[in-house]
Amino acid sequence: MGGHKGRRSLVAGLLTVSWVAAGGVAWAQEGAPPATAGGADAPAPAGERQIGPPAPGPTQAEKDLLEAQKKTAEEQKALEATAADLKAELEMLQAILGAEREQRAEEVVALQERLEKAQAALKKPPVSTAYSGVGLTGYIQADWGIWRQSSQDEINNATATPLNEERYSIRRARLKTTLDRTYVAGALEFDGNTVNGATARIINAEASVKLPGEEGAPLPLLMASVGLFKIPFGFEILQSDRDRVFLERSTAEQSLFPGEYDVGARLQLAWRFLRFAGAVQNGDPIGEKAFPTRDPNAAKDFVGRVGVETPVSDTVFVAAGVSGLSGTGFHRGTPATKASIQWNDKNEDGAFTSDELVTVPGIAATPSQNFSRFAYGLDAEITVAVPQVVTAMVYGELYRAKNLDRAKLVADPFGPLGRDAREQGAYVAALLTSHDATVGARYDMYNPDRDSTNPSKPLVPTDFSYATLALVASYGTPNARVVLEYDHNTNHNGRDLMGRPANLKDDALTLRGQVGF
Amino acid sequence: MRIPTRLAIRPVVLRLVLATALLAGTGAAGCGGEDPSTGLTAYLRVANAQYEPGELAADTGATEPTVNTIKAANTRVFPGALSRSVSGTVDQEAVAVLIGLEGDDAHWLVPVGTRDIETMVDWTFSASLSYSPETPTGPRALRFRAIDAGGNLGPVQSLSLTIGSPAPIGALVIQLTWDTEADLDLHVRITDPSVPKTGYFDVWNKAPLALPPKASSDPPYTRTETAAAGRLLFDSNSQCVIDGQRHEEIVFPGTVPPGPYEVRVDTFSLCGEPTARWHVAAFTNPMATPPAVQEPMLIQEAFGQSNDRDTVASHGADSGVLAFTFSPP
Repeated sequence: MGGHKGRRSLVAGLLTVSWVAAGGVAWAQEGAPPATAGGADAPAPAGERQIGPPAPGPTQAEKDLLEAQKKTAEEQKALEATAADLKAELEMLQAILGAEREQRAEEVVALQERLEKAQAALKKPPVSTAYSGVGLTGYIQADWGIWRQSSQDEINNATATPLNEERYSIRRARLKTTLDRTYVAGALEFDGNTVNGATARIINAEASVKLPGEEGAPLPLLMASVGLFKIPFGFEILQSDRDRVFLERSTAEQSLFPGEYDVGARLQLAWRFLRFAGAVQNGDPIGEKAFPTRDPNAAKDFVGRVGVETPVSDTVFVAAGVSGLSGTGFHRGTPATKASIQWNDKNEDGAFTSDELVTVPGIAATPSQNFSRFAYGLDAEITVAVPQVVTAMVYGELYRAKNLDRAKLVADPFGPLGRDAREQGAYVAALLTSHDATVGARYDMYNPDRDSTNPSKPLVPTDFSYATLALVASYGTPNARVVLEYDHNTNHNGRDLMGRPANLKDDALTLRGQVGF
Repeated sequence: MRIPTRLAIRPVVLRLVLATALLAGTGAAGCGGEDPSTGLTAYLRVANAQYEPGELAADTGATEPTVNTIKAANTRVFPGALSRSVSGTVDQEAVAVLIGLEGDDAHWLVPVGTRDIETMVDWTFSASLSYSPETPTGPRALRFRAIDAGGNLGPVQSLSLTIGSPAPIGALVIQLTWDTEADLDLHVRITDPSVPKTGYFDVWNKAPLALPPKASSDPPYTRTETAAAGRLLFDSNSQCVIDGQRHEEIVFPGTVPPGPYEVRVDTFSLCGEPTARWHVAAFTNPMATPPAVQEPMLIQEAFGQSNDRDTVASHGADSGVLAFTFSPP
């Protein structure tokens, strides 16, 4: 603004100077006798009376007058030149001013357009509640399994499920209502998907009392919750499905904490850069195979994470944490059975003969038993952001556990092997985001039985480990995004011609569309 | 309206008293009654009887009431045996009988039944006994003690049992066991150069006899030949019809083909179970002379775990994961 004012003053000053100069020229023209009207060499006009003797030359007055005229003429020329300069400068300034005005007008139009877009994005849906502090969010993740090596146009007759993985599916369709007031908070979230057929289920339901933190703090200072919520362990579990660019979590996480949500009570603390979350939970997450969200024993799992989250400069953010779990698993007993008779067609003639009957005695039930389990983990994340250019994020996690696998190779020390299963998993991921485009890679590995190579009790296969390299590219924001991911999977689920465990080809290419509000 | 302090305090005190009384009442109610345990952790389980924690002790000083007779159809049982009946008579003062297995951590209370029709004085009792699959093998005493209405226990009467080995008898046994109610199948491939084209034959639930297939022009095997041959005894949890056995054996009673043998485990179906952990072993367990409880001699064994992926297969003769190969000694 000051610049504009200065420019205006300069223009006004120049105009004034020009005007004054022009007036001076006019005054000089009016006051001075015309150069051609008389002069030292000019003859006297006819009829004019001569008094006294004729002068030998021009008088002193005439000389002065001529001198003055000459000087005035020079000054006039100088003023004319100055005026011309000023006029040129004025024209130039007017041109600059015009260009600036034009540019400013264009900027205003662009800003107005952006403002309109932002206002449209922020426009609240026509939903109203009787209470304040209520929020409504949701998103849909629709997948297209473009290609998968292990996919077959066949049915698994044991489970009556299709083996085809090249299909369209709704991976997640979430609708969440939240309540956030000064001292209380709550959440209620439902999930729908078509992974195993159309399903709708509750996934998050929690009620909390809280003590607000400093003004502007993202998290409350202290919060106690009860309900169905995410297991507070590590980084990956607590990361939002909506925000995560990779389609799924690592194999280790899916095996040790299937479904991520469990029922229990939780205490959270967020003070400056320190973060703590501890919970007492059933120990049977929503994705567990045996007793999801229920609890077959009275013992509870204790789980928690202590960490730090802080920016170390304007462009660098770091987070790290240590997590632990101590709990009790459950070995299910078997029921008693009745005696029965079985026919074995020994001679394969399809007809019954008396020696083909086998008696199968009834057998007594076996008791259920509890066993201890634990896990600990380390996680770290570093984000470097160059404003308006690129954001780079590198994060990773390490899991070590005992008897905690609840999905992939379910752990149970009371099986025929009669020993604990020690699990180990890790992953490292890198993401590069520029504006709305992101590319990334993640390598994860998981071994559900670190002792499987023990020669004293030979296991088949001797190695149960899994590894995945995921390459991902996405465009958009969590509110509207397209993600393409290629997964290179290695495992020991295949069988060679001799029946020995081998890698089962299982690479996959998936396209995901995501929209949210 | 202003409430006098004394009146205002009274409801609070009343509530405290009521709450205390409620808690005390709840606690008292919780203290009474019988033990609700299912008794599945005990070696011996008795149907329709009351579980009593602790081993049934043999009190030598007790005299009455007495257990007069005990009858059992079979004193040789195997771990996991179900519904083995036992009956007997007790003194007329007795109201119940305590039954327990020597070395067990629990015993059972069985009420007496009707009058004994022979004596018309004593009371009869009967019970259906089951033995845990974890019951240790070997000789073991089944103890009985009568109890009268005053809670007096009589002397111990014992029935000697033999808990037999569940391992089948044979010159060569290949046994598969697993831990959940899934349908797993044992497959054994026996190398036999006399078999045309392949040089081997498979033994599994669709071909349970360990005899090479005959050409259609050849006469079928005689009954003597099939009786002497190795065979798959039965198919456990077949088609997810749960029989609870969770083990399959191929037993060679006499002559053992020289092999070598390939032992495989096929996961036909997990029958809704999340997983199945298995153990397969080849051992010799010939009939002892005289018959006795004996430990089999292990040749080779392997452990494994099946998951959903293992159920995806044709489940034909050559299906399953290779557990091990061996040649009989």
